Amino acid sequence: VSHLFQVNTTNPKKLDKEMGDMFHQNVAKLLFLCKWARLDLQMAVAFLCTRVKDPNTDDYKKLARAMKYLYVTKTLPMRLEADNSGLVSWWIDGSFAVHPNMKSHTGGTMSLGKGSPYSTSKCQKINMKSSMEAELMVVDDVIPQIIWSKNFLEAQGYIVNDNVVFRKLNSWL
Amino acid sequence: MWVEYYPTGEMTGDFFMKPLQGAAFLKFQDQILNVNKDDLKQQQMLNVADE
Repeated sequence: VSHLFQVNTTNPKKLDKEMGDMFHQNVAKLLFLCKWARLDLQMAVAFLCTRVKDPNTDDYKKLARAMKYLYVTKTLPMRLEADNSGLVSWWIDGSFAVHPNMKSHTGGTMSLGKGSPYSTSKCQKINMKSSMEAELMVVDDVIPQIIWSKNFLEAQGYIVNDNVVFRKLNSWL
Repeated sequence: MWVEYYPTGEMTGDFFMKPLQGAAFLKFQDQILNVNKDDLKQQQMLNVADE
């Protein structure tokens, strides 16, 4: 698991055209699934999406592992519950320079009580010089969704008293 | 909107930004999907039956 973001650049065995297409199709299917019901696959899929253009056998093994995980947890439900606090909680964080191109990764999720109706996991668009900058970029990535979610929930008749963003980096605070 | 400090071990956002395994993975998986023990038992029974 810990080598998810590692890419074999020294001696990669590239997939042939047929296997490459199959890899691409399955990643696209997982992409659909991870946005709807299987948020627990989202980070693996976010990485696999960066590999569809030039997949190798290592990427294929990672896809196979994700498929196996999906198979043995196929009955896991996703339950969403909202409490009456009117508080939308967000947990956002980033990891610095984990991608092969030294880009950082953004991760975040929201909750209205229990379960997670929205979450994001994506490679950042630009390179950062430090983990501090990467953390700031995380906020930049997620803030539009925080504002949009508040407006959307209010338009649906749900009273949003406030948004709370949980961070773990003290210096950012 | 306000910002609050949250300790590393409890940070649900970690699930979406770094590969976790073992207890940490299961803990956050439970939080995000809001699954309970019965769901997990049912899944384990099905897996045993498949084998």
